[in-house]
Amino acid sequence: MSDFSWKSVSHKIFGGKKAESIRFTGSGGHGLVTASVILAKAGVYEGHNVLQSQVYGAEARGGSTKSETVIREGDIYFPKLVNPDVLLALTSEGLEKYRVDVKKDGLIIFDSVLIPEEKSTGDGPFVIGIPMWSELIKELKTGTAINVISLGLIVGFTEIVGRESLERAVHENFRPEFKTNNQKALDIGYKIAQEVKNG
Amino acid sequence: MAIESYLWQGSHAVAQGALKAGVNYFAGYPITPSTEVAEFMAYALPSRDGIFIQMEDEIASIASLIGASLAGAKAITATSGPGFSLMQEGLGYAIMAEVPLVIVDVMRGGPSTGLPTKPTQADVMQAKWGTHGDHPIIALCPASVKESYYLMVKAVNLSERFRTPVIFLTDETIAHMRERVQIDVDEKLYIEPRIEPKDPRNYKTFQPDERLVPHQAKFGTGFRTVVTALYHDESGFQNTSAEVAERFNKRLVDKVEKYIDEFYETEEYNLENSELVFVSYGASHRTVLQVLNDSKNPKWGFLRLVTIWPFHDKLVKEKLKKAKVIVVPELNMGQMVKEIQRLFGDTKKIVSVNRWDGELITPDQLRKVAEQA
Repeated sequence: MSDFSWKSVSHKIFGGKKAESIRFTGSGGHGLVTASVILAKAGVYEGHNVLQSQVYGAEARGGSTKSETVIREGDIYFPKLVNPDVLLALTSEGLEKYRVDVKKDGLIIFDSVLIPEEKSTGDGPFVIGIPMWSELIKELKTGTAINVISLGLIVGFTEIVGRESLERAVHENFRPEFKTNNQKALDIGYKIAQEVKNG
Repeated sequence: MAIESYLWQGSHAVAQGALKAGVNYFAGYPITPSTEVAEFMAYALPSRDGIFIQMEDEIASIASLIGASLAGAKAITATSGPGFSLMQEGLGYAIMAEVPLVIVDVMRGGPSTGLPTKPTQADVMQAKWGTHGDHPIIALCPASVKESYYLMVKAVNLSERFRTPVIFLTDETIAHMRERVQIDVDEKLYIEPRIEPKDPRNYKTFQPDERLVPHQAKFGTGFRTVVTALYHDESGFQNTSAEVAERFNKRLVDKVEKYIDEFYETEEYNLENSELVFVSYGASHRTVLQVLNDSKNPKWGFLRLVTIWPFHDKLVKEKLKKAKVIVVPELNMGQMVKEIQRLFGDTKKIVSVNRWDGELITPDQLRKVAEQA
């Protein structure tokens, strides 16, 4: 967990405005491109302008991925994020590569199980490590919903979309048999975010 | 029956546009970053009595389109640089035999297999001159997901109107990104009908109408249809005399280029007041929009080429007459900029801004160049 409490930064995080841009980075197979599409869909459900994009290599699994979602009221011109409000990282490689891009008043969320050593610089964005993987194993006996818990955390922290829209987008995207586990993963994400926010 | 919001990927918008235009045949070979078009068509066509075939390669793919189109289908394929290279021979055949079809080329980094998952705009000249011989080509280039839908309808329409292949020239960025699209999918759009000859007795396969377009009968409908890519007279039979070659090649080019005003499309902003004009297309236009939005410079504007080919010398010259500086951002080493240089020579300052590393030209990069220009 970060040295700073959320309460001490909450007034200035995202410049006191609503976060509108999220970058996800992980490894092929984590499902973070899917996560960015789901988040974008939730944005459309709420009537916002939305742009989603991704970068990946030729591999089907493994290899570094980057995906991005922008949700805002105004037009979206340049289709890539230069300085995202939020970075969600599931690999050390992605975290180190993209952390410098995050806005100074932004937020970095990383998985503290998959990335045990985080080299904090102290200054800059609010950085928080959350043991997403072990929380999922503990509650669901599987880590496959790591992209869904990621979405629960992002929405829990930023309220970039409402929970109802997010849940609709998540459940529409996956087969019905995954609904229970996905809802649990979202709820864990919301709960952890709330606990951090409450200090 | 109403405007609704969708989250569409660029490739899916292309496929939706094709279906809207009445496309009922797709043959192709999967290649990143175009595969999503094939994927969508494979899903959609069978339930609409259409045909989807995954061919053994791109050479066979275009050959299959030619056959399907001659038999009356509205046929398209989707590919990327390496596959587009393989299609060039078939493309030439389709131009010569005057066969309507659309090739979607989703540009990625080249030459050869290059950068499969990353964007460039380096097939601009290949679209124009990839196949040999003097020939007409129509190429259209979208800059958003929504436009990909409407422009694909136009591409299919133009191929039918002129009986010639049309290149839908998009790129990895526009094809792979998803945007909110607000659209009425039931909206009635103009769909170009294929004109069919009525009287088999006086039928000649390549007899042009007053607009220089021959209206071929569908194969297997009782007409004596003869098709060859050798020079041929109106009957369709081979004739390589100087007189026929001269007349035929001229008509082939004129049937498109004489009617350029009918379909040529650009988008513009602030050209009346601008000393500096960005000339852009496709993904790099999105950088231009960001720069103009951020800078609010009242003396900057843009001219976006929606129709990439043919190039409209007269119109572009007129549109850019007030500009002192023309900045041309492209994801290649400078292809379209050469057309601008050809128009203006040394009479205007022309700045080429280029990137070919698989990344987009950033707003910062472009703004700095414009400020120093």
